[in-house]
Amino acid sequence: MSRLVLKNLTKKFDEVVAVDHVNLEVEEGEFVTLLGPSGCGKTTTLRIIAGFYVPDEGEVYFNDRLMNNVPPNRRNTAMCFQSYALFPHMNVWENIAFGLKMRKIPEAEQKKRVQKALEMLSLVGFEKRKPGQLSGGQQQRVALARAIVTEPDILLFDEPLSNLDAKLRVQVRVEIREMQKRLGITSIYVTHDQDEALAISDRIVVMNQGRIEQVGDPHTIYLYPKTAFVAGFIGIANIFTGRVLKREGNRLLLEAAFGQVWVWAEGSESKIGDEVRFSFRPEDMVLYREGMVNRIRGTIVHAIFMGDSTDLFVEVKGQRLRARGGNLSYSQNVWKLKPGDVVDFGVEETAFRILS
Amino acid sequence: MTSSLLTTPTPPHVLEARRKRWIYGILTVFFGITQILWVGIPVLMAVLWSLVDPQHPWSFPQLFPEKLSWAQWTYVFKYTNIVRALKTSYSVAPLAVLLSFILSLPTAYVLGRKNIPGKKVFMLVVLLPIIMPGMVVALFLSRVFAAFHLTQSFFGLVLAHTLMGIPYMIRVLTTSFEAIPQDIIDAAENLGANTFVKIKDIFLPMVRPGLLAGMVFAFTTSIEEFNLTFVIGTPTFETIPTILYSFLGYNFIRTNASVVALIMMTPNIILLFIVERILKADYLSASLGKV
Repeated sequence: MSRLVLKNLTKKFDEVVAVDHVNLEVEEGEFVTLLGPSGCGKTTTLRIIAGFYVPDEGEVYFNDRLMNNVPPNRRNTAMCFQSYALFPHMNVWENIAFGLKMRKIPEAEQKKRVQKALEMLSLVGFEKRKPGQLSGGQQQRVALARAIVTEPDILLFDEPLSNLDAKLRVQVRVEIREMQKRLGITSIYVTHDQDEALAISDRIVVMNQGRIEQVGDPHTIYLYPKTAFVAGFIGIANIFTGRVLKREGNRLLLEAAFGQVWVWAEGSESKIGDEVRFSFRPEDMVLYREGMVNRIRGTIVHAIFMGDSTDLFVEVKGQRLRARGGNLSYSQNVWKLKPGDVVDFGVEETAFRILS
Repeated sequence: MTSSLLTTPTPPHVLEARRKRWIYGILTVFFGITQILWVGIPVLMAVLWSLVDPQHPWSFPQLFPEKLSWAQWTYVFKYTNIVRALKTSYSVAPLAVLLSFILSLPTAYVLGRKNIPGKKVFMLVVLLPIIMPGMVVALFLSRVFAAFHLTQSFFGLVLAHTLMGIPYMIRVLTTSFEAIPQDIIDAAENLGANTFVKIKDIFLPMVRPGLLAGMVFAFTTSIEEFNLTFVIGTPTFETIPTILYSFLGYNFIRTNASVVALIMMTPNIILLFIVERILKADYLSASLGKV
């Protein structure tokens, strides 16, 4: 188990800056996800931690040990690859035991540890199979077993679930999380899937164009996005720019393209006349009730029934807004709305987020 | 409307399957005929020719020889150096295969795993010895061999055969090296493998099928090699092909040539079957899933 510190990490490929001055501290036993679109530098960062790339600038520390010049095979990390990267010519047992063999762990101890890993991941009975004779989910579990038996300082995951079907993905991510908690191994997990990141992480690092946009626990990242990128990348967001018309304490009256709204903006320094970027979630745009401060009248363009909720595309003064209503069986019959309906929506002023 | 309810139309995937079956059927028949014409008939003829009795020549109107005997075989074993030639051929070939493997491995590794400029050109150049007419290569190479006093020597012969094996070896091994996903190498390194272990436990086992294929090519090439052997090795060394060629040309003796041809061919075919079995076991269990 190790604490991981990245200081000012920078990596260029030719002229493209893949990782741009990344600073990050990961505590012992913490599960941190690097989340971002493809090309955001998350995989490069992971590969720098593993030692496959040498950073152009900056340092990697495991605990207090500088790792920059330590080759991958001496780092005691264990990586789970998107392609699983199992050795096709070795059977399940040999695959799992490979890391132990490399560490020259005595035969008897090897047996014990491989057996334990097999049990932990329900692979008992598959020892003699070759990877080609296993299903995707089983291969995934072999890859996990192979990684954890070495008792690594840091577990690295490079989109390990993207080759599984949707249901299995949800199941395996719960398994990964449970196992990681039980073993308490510091883990870095790379994904572009926001649901996965929200479900699995202690903390999420949102990356964009090689830089860290925001670091926080899943709630913070989803409920309090700091930038337009974070708001738009995680979940769906209505993102607009508004001019400050009035300021009453922490409340701002903003003039946006779809109308005027009162926004709770604690900590904001904005003055009258300033332009402010702000966002709000579709689920915060609810059917208007008496007493709500912000009333937005719009026309339904699309209403998409999703079972538990209904997604609405609403046109307000030529602007497209997204709303989502839970399909409660006893009230708020959102699912009854049809395209063409003119509806009053309300958004609580505390639902808005001021973006930088 | 009613008729469509009564007689279900054939679903498209069934039609597709039928069409495929047709195409496969035609291809099988075509393949079968060409195989019989190119391989089956010549081999059958060779067997018959090798068994012709010298007292009862086999000539035009007869469909089969009048009388069969081992006379041609006895003749070849009695009056030619075929036994010694067999020994030479089968000691040169394995050595040439081994040497071409050792020499090709580093080159193939670099070509397959590293991004080097001019790789495509190099891959073509590597093939030159087998693209150019064999006798041309032999003629000019013999000068080089002579300069190093390698003509009429066993080592020179092995070296010559190695040269003919290398192009196959490099080609096949390069493709095998290329086919290994980088993730697998990274995974090995991540789990603690150093360079030596990576070569021994990952690269070599994973190129094994390619290696076996390359070895078969190199081996059969060596067994069948005539030009270089003729120019560099004879008369000190005779191989099966040089004896075979001695029955061709101006003193063309088809019966004896058939005997030698069969002697040359049979071990090759057996070898091919053995390797095929090994490759099948390798591939099926390693990568292609449930057998």
